[in-house]
Amino acid sequence: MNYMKKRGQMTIFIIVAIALVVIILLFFLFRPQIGNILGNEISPNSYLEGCIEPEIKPAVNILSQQGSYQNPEGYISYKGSKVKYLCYTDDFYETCTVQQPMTKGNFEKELNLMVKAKANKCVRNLIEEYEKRGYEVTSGGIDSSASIVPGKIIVSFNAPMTVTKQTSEKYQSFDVEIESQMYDLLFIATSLVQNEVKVGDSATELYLQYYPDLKIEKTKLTDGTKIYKLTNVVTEEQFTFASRSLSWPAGYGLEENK
Amino acid sequence: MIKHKFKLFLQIFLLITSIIAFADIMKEVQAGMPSANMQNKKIGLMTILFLALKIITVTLFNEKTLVSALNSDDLQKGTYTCIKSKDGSLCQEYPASECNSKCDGQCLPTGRENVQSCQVGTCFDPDSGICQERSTRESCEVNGGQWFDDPAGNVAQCQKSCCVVGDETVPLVTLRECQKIEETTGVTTTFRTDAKNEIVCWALGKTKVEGACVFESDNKCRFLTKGECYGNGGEFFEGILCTHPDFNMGYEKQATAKCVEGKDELYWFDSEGNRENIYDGNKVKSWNDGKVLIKEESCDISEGNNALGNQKTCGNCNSLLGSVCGQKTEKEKLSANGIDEVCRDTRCTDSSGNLRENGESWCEYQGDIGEDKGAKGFSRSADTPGSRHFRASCIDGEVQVNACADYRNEVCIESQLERGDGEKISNSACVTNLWQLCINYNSEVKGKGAERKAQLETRNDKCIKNPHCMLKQVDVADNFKFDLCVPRYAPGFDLKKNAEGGELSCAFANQKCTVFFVKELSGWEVKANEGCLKNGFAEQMNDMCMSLGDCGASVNYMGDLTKNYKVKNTKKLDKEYLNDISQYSDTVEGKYATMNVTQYIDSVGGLEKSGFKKKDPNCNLPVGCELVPDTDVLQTAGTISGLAGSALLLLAGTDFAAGFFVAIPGSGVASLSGIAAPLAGAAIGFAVTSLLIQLTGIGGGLDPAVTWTLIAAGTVGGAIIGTTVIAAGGLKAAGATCAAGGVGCIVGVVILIVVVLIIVIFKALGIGDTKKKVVRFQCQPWQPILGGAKCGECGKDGYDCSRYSCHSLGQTCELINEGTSDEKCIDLSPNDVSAPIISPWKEALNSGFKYEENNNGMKIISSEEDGCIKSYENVIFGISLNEPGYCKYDVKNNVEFEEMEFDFGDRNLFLTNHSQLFAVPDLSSLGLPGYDPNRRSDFSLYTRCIDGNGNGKDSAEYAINFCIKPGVDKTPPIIAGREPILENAPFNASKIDAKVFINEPAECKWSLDSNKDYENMENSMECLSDVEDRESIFGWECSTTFEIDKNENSFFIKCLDQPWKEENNSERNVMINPYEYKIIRTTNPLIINSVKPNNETLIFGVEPASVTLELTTSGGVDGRATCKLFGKAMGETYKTTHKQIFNKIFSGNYEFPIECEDTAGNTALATSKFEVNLDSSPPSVSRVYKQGESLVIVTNEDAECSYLKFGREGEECLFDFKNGTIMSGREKIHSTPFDKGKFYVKCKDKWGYVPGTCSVVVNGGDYELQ
Repeated sequence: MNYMKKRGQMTIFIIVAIALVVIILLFFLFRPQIGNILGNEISPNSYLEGCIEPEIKPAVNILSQQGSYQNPEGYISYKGSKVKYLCYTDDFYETCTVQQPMTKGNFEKELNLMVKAKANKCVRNLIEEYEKRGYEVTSGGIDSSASIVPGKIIVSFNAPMTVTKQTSEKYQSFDVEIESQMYDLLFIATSLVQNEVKVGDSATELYLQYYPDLKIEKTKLTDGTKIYKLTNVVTEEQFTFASRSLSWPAGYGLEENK
Repeated sequence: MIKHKFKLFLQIFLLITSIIAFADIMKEVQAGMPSANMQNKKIGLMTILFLALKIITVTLFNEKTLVSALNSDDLQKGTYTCIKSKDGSLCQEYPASECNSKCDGQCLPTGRENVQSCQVGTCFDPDSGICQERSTRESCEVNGGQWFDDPAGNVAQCQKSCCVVGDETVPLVTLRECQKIEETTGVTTTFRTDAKNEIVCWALGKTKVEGACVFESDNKCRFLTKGECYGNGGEFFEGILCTHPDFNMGYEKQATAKCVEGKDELYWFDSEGNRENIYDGNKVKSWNDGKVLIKEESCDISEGNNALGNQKTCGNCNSLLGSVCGQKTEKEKLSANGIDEVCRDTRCTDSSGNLRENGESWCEYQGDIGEDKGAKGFSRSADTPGSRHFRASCIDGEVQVNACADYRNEVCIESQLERGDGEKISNSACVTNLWQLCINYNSEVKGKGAERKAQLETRNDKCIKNPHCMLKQVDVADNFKFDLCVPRYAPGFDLKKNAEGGELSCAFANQKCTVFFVKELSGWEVKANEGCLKNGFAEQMNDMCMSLGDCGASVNYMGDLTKNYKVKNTKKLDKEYLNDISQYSDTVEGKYATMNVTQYIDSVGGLEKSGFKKKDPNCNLPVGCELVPDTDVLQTAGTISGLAGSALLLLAGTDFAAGFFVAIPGSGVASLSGIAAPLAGAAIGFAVTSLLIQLTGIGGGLDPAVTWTLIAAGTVGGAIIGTTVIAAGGLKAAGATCAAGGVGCIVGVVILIVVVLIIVIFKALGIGDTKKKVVRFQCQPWQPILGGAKCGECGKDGYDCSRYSCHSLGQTCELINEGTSDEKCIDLSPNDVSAPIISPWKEALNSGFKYEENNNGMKIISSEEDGCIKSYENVIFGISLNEPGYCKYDVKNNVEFEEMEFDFGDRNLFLTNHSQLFAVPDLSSLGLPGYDPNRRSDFSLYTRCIDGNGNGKDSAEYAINFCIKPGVDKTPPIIAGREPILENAPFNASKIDAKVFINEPAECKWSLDSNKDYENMENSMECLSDVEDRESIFGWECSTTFEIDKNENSFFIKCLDQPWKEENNSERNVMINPYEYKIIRTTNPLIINSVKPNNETLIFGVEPASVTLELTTSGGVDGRATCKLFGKAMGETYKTTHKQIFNKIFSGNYEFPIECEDTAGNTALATSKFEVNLDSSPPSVSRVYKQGESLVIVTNEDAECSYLKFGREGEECLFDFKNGTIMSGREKIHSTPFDKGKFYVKCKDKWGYVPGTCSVVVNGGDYELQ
């Protein structure tokens, strides 16, 4: 009888121990949600980052394949993408005219346009989240901007708000940073365009000496267009653009209207 | 009794003659030959075997209504500018007639340079600091950029120098970029304006001192740089590892090994993750008692000649010698277990199995290339149709193959350099093929006698010095030998889009050799050019033909031979020769194109010595010696690239270029594609322009600048020719139906002045009479084999398939889905077994004729009662096919297609429409009996056409039937053209060499009196009145020299036809009204009115600077002229204002000789002299005074001044200029209300130079100059 009692106790202890372990595990796994349920602090930056990041990467991907444009005009269709001409001339024997002198600025502008709606929604969701937790939120307008700097892409939310519950916290803006080497790729693209403009071509091997993680593929098409694809072999980010400069016709180029 | 019978055979020989210059060359060749006086014909007895009807054929290009692509207005208007095109491109130029259809908006009737929003300058991004040259104002400003009116970036904001960022450096960035780096990284930066090239900049970077950094607070050690350690508050031990026993940290040494970002080598790491020394299987040696072991003292990964001999035990990778740290593989790993990284071999193996170093580049080809020995040991070009050059490079163990431009517009050149260890390293580049220059050199030979001889020598010299040209010799017979400058790397053609261009190039090899026989007692003996009848003539001519481009008998890059040539009266190419050229589809191991870089750049004419010298004459670095301008040597401070308008300062093979492109072996070669391309662009552009101008007869008043823009825009140069021809009345005389530019005009484009034919006339002549046999070679554009069986082979040789290579594999091969991942070369009509269907081409037929179709073909009927075509009548007719086809005909029926003698329209191209002009001469001009009004002749041209698959060879012939009757020539001759075309003569001309062209053989005289009859005219002209002497589309040539003694001169010419009827003048027709040949001597000389800059000093704040040389012309014909500097046309010219921009001007003295010439040949000379000084100092204050209530400051140069009244003590003068209060006045005088207190003033000049401290400090009446 005693033996049976001891076995039973042991069983209960084991069950309780297992339950405790499971609870602890669950706690660590779902802590943010638990925190929310229990009414813990929201970290606005983390919240916004979690909200906007899934939107940024696909947008960057589209822009990088199309020479920094979502809907490019003045492009060439190549392997399923509309590759923007950053430098172009319709003529033979002449160097090109720059079609977009501020590639980085354009990339930022286009990226912002692409994520803007979602960014606004994220901020509104954040406000709602605060309000659900009993905070009083006063907010102004919402604006966002994207900037590309060495090593990262920053999406800034200009969303002044005051969050009050017992105490007040004022926020002016929030920055979401994503690691990216796109700055270098855009910088190199600008440099390649400069060469296309000045001398009608570029010596890509020079860049490979300075940027060991860089791969540049230059494809010359029959009509004189060059497709440049720049890839960071480590992060696998890439940037593609087209240029048509100092092209030569076949023979004397005496052909019918193009 | 002279009986004669004749059988009328139609012998049509179409000969595409070379252009006038070549005809001149050939005339020289034939000058010494005895001439046969064709007028001394006797009518033969009996055995006139055949009589040829003379058919003058003009090739018509109506395949795609080319005339409609360009109307005659374009020739005057040139190109218009479209700010935004429908395809989204900005600021493009189009021919006037096309602009509206391509433009999204209004077209502006002017060139791009005159449209403000399309003006090119430099765009500066004020946020990132990036400068983009050649940006249009609008595209810059709309994106928030700052635009400067200097396309070369020579503005203060875009000056690039070295940015020092902590211990590292970033070369060649602008000041703003450097500031941006500081903003984003938080690291203080310094902008070093004294370090303008990479080498010097990198030298400023500090070597990072590394060692153990101990943190007492938590008793931890980290392996850091000195800067990092102190920045984190640690104690630094230089050259010591964290596992040094003295630290007693308890870390396990050499716990793991892995790669480090930014470093080549594999390193040991301790258990805390601190880097130790380079991995060595000998752990003791590597640990080095806990001290840092430098790379040079670490293990050697190489062993003997094997650069990775110790790969399994050593981690001392070396990227320059072919290894870098990376993930292990099955074949490459360390002996030790548990380490996933190793020094990976970054070398490559090329397609021939050779080992290549990392960074090495070499050329690959699709067959033989360049020069090879041909017939009689003379050179010929070996590049095959469809082939392309490729540049391969080894990058981190991977071979990357990049194609040079297609159609061999670029060729791959290679150089081999010896490394320090004796290894040969290849370096290659794709460079522009200068083939157009080679052809153009020949057209510069125009004169006569001694002048011609000198021109030939100049031509030969240029040809030999141009590394892309070679002097092709032909030496067949005693009087048939000449040289021609041809491309060393024959260019390719796009025959589907550009058939005319191919024919143009190939036509340069069309030649005739006249063999003379003299009747001796023993029979006819050859007296001259016997060699033309033998083996060797066709071979040498085909060698020349192949060297001009995709022409003649040749193989494609896969080895398929086709024979695209015609010979008459001599042997065809023999088997041995054909076998020989068939080898060209095989690559030749070890053969690559080489090039003298300096010669190449000299050939494009734009590169003058820049005049640089070493700053330190003792500098012996292979690259990177700092250079300074040496204006004593200077010719130009950059190069003139003519229409490209940009000036470059690039040298090959000099320290400057080497330093410029930094530490790349043979960098002059590697970068060459970039260096010379725009120079080539301009040079080639001019060559093409000048050649086409000659062919088109630009003297018709067309503005060369207009012509150039149209050619550059890719419009059909032939349309210019066609319109000119029409305008000159040439084809009107031939009875063409079209008016210039009219709808339905089919005779618009005559790219090739295809004239004349040969009549083989055999007559029995008496003893002492001569006869001649004309041997001809016609060089045709290369055509691929029939069908498309080989289309699928495209790309299987490992190189990407392109449109050019695909088309070369078969007539029906086409590249589909171009630019997509489904791109492939396929047979477009694999199941086509139907022959082309032939029908009359109604639009081709000129008025006065009609077709009458029948079961066997058609009959051409004239408006005469009997429907027959009279002598001296010209008819144009044609056939239309339901698919592109190649058509031939013969005068006999039932001849096999291969054996048919003549190409329809004398073209071997596959077209849907074929046309022919048929001009019937007077039969008596051929020595036939006189006029018999009852004589008729019916004959047919038996025609067959095949399609791309060869269908149609056996189909029924299509018979084109005519009847011809002799006609009495009752019309007087017509003068159809003149040379020179323009009436203008130079200001001081006293005589002029004049030519007129007559529509039939004739004799001509001239007089100053317009009322004189022909017989009484005092002066005879020299006329080529032999039937076969017609060399021009305008007709037969008569020439003379007119003496000019006043400003307006008129010479009246009359001509008498049928010169062979000298005994029967009554049957001859004379011009009733004379032709007035006007020559107007320009009344004023050509003057260069103003040259700017001249005799002045220019001051710039940045170096290099941009200077625009401008001048105007007046006088001469109409004030317009072509102005040149050093023999090259200025960037903007052909007008009354002329401009050239130099964008690499350094301090020094400059002198530019200027030569201008107008269309009449008037010339003017001038010189531009100026001095350039650099003002790199901020403005200084020369006076300070009080005027009323104002403080007045006077500076020594135009400036802007600002001031501060307060500041931190001792730092008042360290304020940023833009944070001060701006004083009024932007030139030299500046003022502000003078109230109490101190004024700390800074002044900035227009270049942006500001002093580091105050320009002046003013305190209540006193001032203190800084």
